[in-house]
Amino acid sequence: MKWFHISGAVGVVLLVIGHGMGLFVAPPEAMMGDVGRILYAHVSTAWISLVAFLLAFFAAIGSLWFGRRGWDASVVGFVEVGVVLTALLLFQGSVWARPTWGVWWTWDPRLTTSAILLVAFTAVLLLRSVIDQPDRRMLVTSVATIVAFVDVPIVYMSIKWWNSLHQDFSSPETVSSYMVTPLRISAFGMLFLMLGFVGMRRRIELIRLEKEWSLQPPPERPAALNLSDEGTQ
Amino acid sequence: MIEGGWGYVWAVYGVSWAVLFFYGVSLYLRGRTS
Amino acid sequence: MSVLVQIAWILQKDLLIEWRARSRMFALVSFALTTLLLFSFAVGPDTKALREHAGGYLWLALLFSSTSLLDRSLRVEEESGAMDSLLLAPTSPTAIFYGKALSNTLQLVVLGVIALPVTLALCDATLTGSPLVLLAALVLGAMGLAAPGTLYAALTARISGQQLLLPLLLFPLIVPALLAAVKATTLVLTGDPMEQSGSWLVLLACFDALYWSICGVLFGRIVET
Repeated sequence: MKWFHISGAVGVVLLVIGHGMGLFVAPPEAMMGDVGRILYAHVSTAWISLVAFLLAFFAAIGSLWFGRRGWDASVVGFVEVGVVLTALLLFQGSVWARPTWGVWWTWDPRLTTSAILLVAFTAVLLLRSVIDQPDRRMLVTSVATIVAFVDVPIVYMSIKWWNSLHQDFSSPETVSSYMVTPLRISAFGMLFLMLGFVGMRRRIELIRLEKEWSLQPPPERPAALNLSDEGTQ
Repeated sequence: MIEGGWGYVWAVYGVSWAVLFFYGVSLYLRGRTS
Repeated sequence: MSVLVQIAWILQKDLLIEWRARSRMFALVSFALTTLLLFSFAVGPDTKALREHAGGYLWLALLFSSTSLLDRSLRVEEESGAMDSLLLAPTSPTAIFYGKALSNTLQLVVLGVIALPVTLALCDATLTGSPLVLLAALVLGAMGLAAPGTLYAALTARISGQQLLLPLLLFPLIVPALLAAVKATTLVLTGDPMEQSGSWLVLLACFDALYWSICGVLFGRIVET
């Protein structure tokens, strides 16, 4: 039983509590009614997906700096879990948009930035999967992750500016105090669960990397004394 | 205020939990075989 | 040799290589023009839509063409180990990056200048605003595509699936540059009553400044292994 298993279990418990409160105890939202309860699942997922990518960014820097397998495995963990959470949040957001905005999709800065994030980090994983050489693979993964992450705020801002020229859809900016508690609990639950998943994924990657390293052919011995007389006569 | 819409709510929560569950299970299985 | 001289030398070398293989540039131009043609077919006889989105079509055509262009700029170095020879010269990898990125920028601008009149013709658009602003948008936008593009071309250079991976990596990344360039171009073409093109150009310039510095730093690590 490792730390991440415990983290995951704690996360699940907190999520059950948070979602339970949000679904059954918290009041319906002022304008969205019961549909507003999607907030607890969606916002917590969105926050933690960004946290995952932020941690992936730091792990990528560590990977470039220290160059050790553990950091590389961490990058993989954070990016993969981030991708899963982002895909999920896009689904949640889309379903939430239908009754509230009347459309399944819109040119909203957050939705669109998330879609771009999904493609960008999926591309990082794809890129990783086609490189065999471990050192190069680690380098490429880190660089791609860093560049992808640095782009995130820029993408968000530029879409926001573009959007400000058109009609701006409202969304829950201020959350009432009755709703803050289940939201906070859900967010922490998601955080611990994310860390649990990342720990599991990282461990899998680490084992894979170590196995790969041990299967490498031994380094060629430099030709020292050439004692044979072949080809000299 | 929007009335009802519980279908959407259940869809979101159901899919969310399913995704998290199956992802967790996949990680567990991948951890066992490697 | 100072870094600036190295950059100029790499730029000259790359442009010379491309000039000698002019036929490839023609193919690229044809590709861009065909893409523009297809866009106007797809939109159909809706002249209003065509005129409003002419800027978007132009930049999409440039974006699609850029993949082949960027790929080539790095592939050139793969042949007969040219990259290794360059690095052993010794050439600073940063200089190689900036020289190549500049060369790619220039080629994209040339492509844009050729594609622009075709776009205007196909979409029945006119140059309402200042041509200088348009040129600025073209140059800054091309820079925005070239810097991350050159970096990613180097990242994916030796991979067999590069044709697909390069666009997949690049396109999400350059969305801000694309948006700003399209916006600025469209404003010049359709009219800019609220004088917004300036702010979009500023966004483009900031994006360029950020990426030209980051990619320059990271490029060194990529080519040295």
